[in-house]
Amino acid sequence: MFKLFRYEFRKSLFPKLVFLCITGVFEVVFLIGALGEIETPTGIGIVGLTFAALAGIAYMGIESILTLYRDLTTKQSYMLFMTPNSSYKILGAKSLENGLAVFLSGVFFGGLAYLDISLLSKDEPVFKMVIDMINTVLREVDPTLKLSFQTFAAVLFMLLVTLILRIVLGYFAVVLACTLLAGKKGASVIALIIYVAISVGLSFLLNLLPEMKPVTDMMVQSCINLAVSVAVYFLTAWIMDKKLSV
Amino acid sequence: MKYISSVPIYLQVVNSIKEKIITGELSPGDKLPSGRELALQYTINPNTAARVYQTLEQEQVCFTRRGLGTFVTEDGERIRLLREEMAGTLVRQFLEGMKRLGITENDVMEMIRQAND
Amino acid sequence: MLESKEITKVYGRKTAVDHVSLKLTPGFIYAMLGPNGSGKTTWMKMAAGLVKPTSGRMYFDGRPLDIDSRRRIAYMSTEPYFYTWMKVSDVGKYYQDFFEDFSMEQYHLLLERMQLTPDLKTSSLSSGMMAKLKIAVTMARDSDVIMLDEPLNGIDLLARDQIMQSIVERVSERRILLISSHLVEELETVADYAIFMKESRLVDFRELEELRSSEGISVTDKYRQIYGTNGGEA
Repeated sequence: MFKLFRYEFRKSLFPKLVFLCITGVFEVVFLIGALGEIETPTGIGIVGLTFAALAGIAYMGIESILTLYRDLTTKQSYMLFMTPNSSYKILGAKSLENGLAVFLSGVFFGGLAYLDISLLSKDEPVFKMVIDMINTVLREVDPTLKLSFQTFAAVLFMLLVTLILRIVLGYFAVVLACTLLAGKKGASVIALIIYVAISVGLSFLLNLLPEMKPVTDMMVQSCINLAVSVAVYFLTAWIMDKKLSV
Repeated sequence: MKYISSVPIYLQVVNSIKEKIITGELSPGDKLPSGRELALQYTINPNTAARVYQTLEQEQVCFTRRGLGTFVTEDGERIRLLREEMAGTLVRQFLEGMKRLGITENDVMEMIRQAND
Repeated sequence: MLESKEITKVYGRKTAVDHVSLKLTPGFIYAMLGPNGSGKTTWMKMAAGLVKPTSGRMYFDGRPLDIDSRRRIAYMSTEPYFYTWMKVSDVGKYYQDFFEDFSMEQYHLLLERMQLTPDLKTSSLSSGMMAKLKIAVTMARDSDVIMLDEPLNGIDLLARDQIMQSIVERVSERRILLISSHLVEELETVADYAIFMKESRLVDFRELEELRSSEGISVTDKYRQIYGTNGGEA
């Protein structure tokens, strides 16, 4: 599995480096502005970094789905399916690599933002400022909410599960589309339709749940999403093993 | 080696080895290559190579010493016979060809004499 | 033993392989012959587990083909399939990472014979060099089954001799060698059996020496009989 993981990482190395370079460029611009106390480069830096962070994380989120699509629709698929690795392993390595990539880019951009904000705010304690900001947002959502370890954990868990669900649903849509179309054109469109249909269906079902306290609600939804993710993962691997021709 | 693709490959290799024995390229008692080496040398299937030695042994042109390999027969009489056999085959083929062209035996003799001069 | 029972593959309206039952036993070289589109490639891909049959089944050593069979089956496709970032040495490493029967030593030997160097980028290889690389990496596996789909395509005359030699070297009592080609003459002297595919069907299966001794004809002659416009069997 580690070997597969390594090759999955290698496949997506180039886009990762591109985002790193873009971030680096804007960071330099930002530092010139911040340290020289010039407004224009600071502004460009902030806008650029925000953009790089959002685009970077969003791209990482779908990156492994795009890779899987390429793996299945080009002859490079033989590299995966000639080897004695089960589809469970192949998908597992892909999910793990992708999940880790998103998580680490989150940590990376978060850390960078923290450092940059510290630089700008000079004496003010940034950590407290961030907590205050989050609390303001939370009160907007629900007046009873306040940042606690419990809420923090619940949000983190929800984000993680949502991420896993998105990735696994993406795999499922791509594998199903490729299996049904068997090499014909238009698999990407079909995959997108399958993906949207399942997502809409799933959120419709989740809306049927009774009203609950926000944190409980988050936990229940996350658990359901997790269960769905696991089921979809096994279903996808099964289709790959038994039905998919590359 | 060039093969005639409609004649069994093993027979062609058998004849090639026999020729080598007759011309002295291979001497009596010489060790022959292993089946695998023979296959590579002639670019033939190792199964065909095995059949080559089988045939040569049956015809007592070669013999096998367990664990040592296959050798050219040391029987001089057998080699002399081999030369006669192959010569006979060539003459028969030649005469058949001439017959097809409608040339009589006497004419053939005459033509051979002329060609030799 | 590699066996297909009534195996069929349908793509949309096109039947690529039509109820083919075929049994290959170890120790022999099989030549799979037929024009393009006769079903050779699809049969091989089903044997490699890359394409799933519409009906019928593939068996390896008596058991239905599964993921585990891939440990012992080596397949080379006609198309290049390596990741574009790979160098020749990376291709070897990849095979070493995933196939226990891969020998790096054998790989380097074959590369040398094919006049390829490990530092070449696969994306910069000519089609002939790519063909050689595919053969080298596939034949460096000590597998029970080696399937080569059109190994002589795009390969110059001198390299062909090298490849035929490598194929002969790979014959073993425990190994099945299956080679497809539309260059019939090239396989004439090395193959034990010829498998004739025509219009998705298996039309004949012959032992070559038997064909030559009993009918006095070559595989090429037989090929003309089967596929030629004159006197072809329908």
